[in-house]
Amino acid sequence: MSSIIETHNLSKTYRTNFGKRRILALHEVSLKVQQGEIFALLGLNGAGKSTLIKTLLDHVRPTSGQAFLFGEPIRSSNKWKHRVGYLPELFSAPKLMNANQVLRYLGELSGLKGKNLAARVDETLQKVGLGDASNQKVNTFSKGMVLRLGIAQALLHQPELLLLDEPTEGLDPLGRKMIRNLLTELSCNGVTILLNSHLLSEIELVAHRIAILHKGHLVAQGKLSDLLPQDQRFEVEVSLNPSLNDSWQFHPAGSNWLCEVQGYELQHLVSALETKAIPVLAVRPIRTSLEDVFFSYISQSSDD
Amino acid sequence: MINAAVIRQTLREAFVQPALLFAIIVEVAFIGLLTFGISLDFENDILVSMKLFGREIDETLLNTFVSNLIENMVNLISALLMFLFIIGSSFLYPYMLRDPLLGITLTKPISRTSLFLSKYAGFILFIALSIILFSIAVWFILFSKSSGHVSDSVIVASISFCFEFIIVFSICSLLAMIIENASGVALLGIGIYYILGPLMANTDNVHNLVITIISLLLPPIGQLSIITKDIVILGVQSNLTLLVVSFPYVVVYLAIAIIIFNRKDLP
Repeated sequence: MSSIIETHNLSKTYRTNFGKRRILALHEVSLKVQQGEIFALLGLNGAGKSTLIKTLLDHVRPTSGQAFLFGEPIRSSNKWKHRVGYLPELFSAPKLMNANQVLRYLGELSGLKGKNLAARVDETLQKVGLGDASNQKVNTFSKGMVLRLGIAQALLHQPELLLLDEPTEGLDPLGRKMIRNLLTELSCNGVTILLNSHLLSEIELVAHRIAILHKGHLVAQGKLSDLLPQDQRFEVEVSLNPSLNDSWQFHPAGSNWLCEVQGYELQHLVSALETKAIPVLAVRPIRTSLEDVFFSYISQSSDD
Repeated sequence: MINAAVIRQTLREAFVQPALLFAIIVEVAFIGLLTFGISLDFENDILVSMKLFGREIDETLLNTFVSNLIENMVNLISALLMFLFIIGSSFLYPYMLRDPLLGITLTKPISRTSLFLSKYAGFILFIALSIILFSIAVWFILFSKSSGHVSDSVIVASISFCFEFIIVFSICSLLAMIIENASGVALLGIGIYYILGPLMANTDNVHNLVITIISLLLPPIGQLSIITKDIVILGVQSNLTLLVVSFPYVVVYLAIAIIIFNRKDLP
């Protein structure tokens, strides 16, 4: 499978105060995104997610390292520009233009013309749910509608690669679901998607692979299943407080008692409970969410 | 190199620029003044009477009055329009650098150089259309009021004025890429055009290192301004070569501005 995005030791340091102050935005980030993948970048504010996307788009010059799109260095030519769609964070459009005019302008810049342009504008506006608002001025749009327009412009020229910075920020649950379905559909059609989002639950539903950035460092990347702790945790429920040793702390939950244990400890605990003739009411696996994984990597990285 | 869609978008943006809208209002008001405020009467190709808002100008003062009137009007209108155009142009690039669409525009198949030059061309087109249409309207009104006794110097002067603006705009564009602040660019642009330019036009016999350096760095804006006015007032069209000589400055300023733009990190 071919790499659509590839970075090798990509670093970026911003200089402020006439070069006196340096801010590390990216530190030797190396990653690969394959065709048709939905790849999510996670990180706290200022982690370097947007800088990474801007570096890939040649909006920001890397301090060192290399970035490739479609197998070619980004600075070598502009050919990749025909194949990329981009939604920036905090997208906004000229207030006095209507949705149709905004898309026509950006469509023309993408090389679309005449009837093809008009057809693509109509089709894309329908796709993002703005079909009825095509002649409405942008200054009358809600935050969600502006974002949908931003997604429409990114999709307009049918790109092979989509770079989306916070594509669901500010959308209502219905809008988020629509975007989620759209991303899944695009991915099934072979479109590669790199997205930034703070909404971890959304990412968990759509992303094939994730990368976690923290203070410019890539602290983890891989499939969600690979990033989850290998040792599953379980919750054991009993009707009496067994008062076992210190390593198994039971706490009351209604009329019963609960204890969380690692998978390798489960058998020992159940045996101990059987010894004390305390019946086990339930053993439930504890699901580790992306949020748990994310914070675990962030805290590990901070400790390092 | 030049992108038609960006030029059209720049024209749209220029139409809603307050300073440029005000410039158009000034032009329309002046055309109204000429249409309804002045009446001329010629006999055998000679101006014999003139009425200003219905008031007859004394026959003995007629020639002096007319030449003073033309001179004052040309000075006032050209100074006012250039002032408004400099302010309008000062916003173009600083706003472009903060435009939320800039990032998206540059992911389209258009280079930064092409975007910069297309914006420049779009803005020049707006100014040229505004000035040339204005001068044609003025010429047509004077032509109809004087039964054909008017020279085409107004139209020639409008072209000279456009060249003048192209040169001033190149300086503003470079300043915009360096300081990225519209107010700062406007102040510096106005200072260069109204203070430094005329000062440098009168330093032919002054031998001073600083003045020599400034005169090498700046195109002869002061002299160009004088040429434009001479075209209207005296009908002199001999020093137009100075405009051509100034064009290397435009090329150098724009080239430096484009290099700076190409090296900038976008916000």
